[in-house]
Amino acid sequence: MNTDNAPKDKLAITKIMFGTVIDHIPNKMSFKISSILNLQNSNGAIAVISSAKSKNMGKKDILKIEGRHLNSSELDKIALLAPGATINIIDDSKVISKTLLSTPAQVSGILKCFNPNCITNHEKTTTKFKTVSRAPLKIRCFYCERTFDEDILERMIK
Amino acid sequence: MNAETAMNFGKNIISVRDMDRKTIEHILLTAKKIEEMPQNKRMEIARGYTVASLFFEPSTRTMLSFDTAAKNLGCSVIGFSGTESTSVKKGETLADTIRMASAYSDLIVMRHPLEGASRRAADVSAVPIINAGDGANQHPTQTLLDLYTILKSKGTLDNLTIALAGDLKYGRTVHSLAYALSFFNNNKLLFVAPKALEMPNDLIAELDGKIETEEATITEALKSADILYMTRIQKERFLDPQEYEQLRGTYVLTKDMLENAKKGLKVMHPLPRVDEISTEVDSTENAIYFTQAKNGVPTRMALIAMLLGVLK
Ligand SMILES: [Zn+2]
Repeated sequence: MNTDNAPKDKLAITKIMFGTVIDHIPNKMSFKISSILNLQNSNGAIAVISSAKSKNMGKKDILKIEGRHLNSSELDKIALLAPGATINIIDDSKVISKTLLSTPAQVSGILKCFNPNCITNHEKTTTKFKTVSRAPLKIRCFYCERTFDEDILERMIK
Repeated sequence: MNAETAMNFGKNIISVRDMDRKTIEHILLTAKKIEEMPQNKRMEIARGYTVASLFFEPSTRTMLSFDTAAKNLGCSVIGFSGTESTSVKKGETLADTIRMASAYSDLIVMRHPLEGASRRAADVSAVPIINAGDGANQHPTQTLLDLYTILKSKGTLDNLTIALAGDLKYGRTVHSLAYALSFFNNNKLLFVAPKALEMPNDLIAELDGKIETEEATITEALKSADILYMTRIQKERFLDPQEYEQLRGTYVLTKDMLENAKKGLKVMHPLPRVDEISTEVDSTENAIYFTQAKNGVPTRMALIAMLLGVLK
């Protein structure tokens, strides 16, 4: 079984035994995702494949993370930045599950509100944001009710 | 508390976004019932209950209105205005102040300079919260008293043309009112504002498909509106004092201008006004802004009574 979702070109990337492959990431977005997942401090091998050819996306990124699976807040963060990405969980060199990410209806605790006058920036509070529009992405703070656009979102991720 | 089952927004009044047509109609009907009751009967509605009035930011006007509302229902009122002499000044968190106040009271009315403070308070409070203003965000009781005023003078909240004039960019009052009017049928909003103070795009997008909106000049608005809602252009909003001086005179409503207005046009204003409505307008039958302010009391009485669960 082919567990490797990378395009068959000259980039030699070894298969991983245990870990996560994030596929169908929008072009160049893998660098941001790497930094959000703090992959620079990872012990396992990391492969960032950027601007790979894709039938449906034109160009896409793929991220391979050896040695760990992702938790739900990490998945929420990726889902906000790269809805449509697929998460392949690899165990014993096999894809044991494949999930298509979509923009979450609500996220909790993973974003910092960009409104300096929001109570959540003055007092310890678990932030909550609701998605009010998917394309273009707009989210609203549950507390101050301010809406934020996609372009500011990356800077709001904790 | 039986009130919870009667209302869709739960046990607090935090934001117009939590409301709908049915809820608003229910509140306004209750306000009307209370207003028609004899005073001695009103005083029995919530006798023995305690309302905590926590004004982390002073606002004499709003505080007095709530205070009167609570006392007219027979409640006693505790609390503070300004944080100068309180434990808040010593660094107490909002959550702790609310926990403390909810131990001593049956309902909390609060005003706070930070946006989202009332929503945060509701997270930790054991008693209902009424938001009396949270920074630039919401002031839902102002919206409800505005709607009550429109309903009383026009007999309906449907099929109306409402012109919103002045500072539409920063004015939370007009934002919430516009949003609330979109719950009703066949209304039209006219936006009368200088370029620098136009309605924010986010709100226009939110209203899209729910209510008809159009930009208008004050002359156009006077000809077709049933309600002209004036707001103050605030000096604090401008970095350049010259820009403020240029804009402040943009909308000054005079008695002469009302001569060509649509028959039955009513003029509203959240008060205080500066010079956007000339005082000669006060005595015309168009002016209803002083009644509007007075309508705050029965509206707030209704909310307090409903949230305490003593009126359904
Ligand atoms: Zn916020």
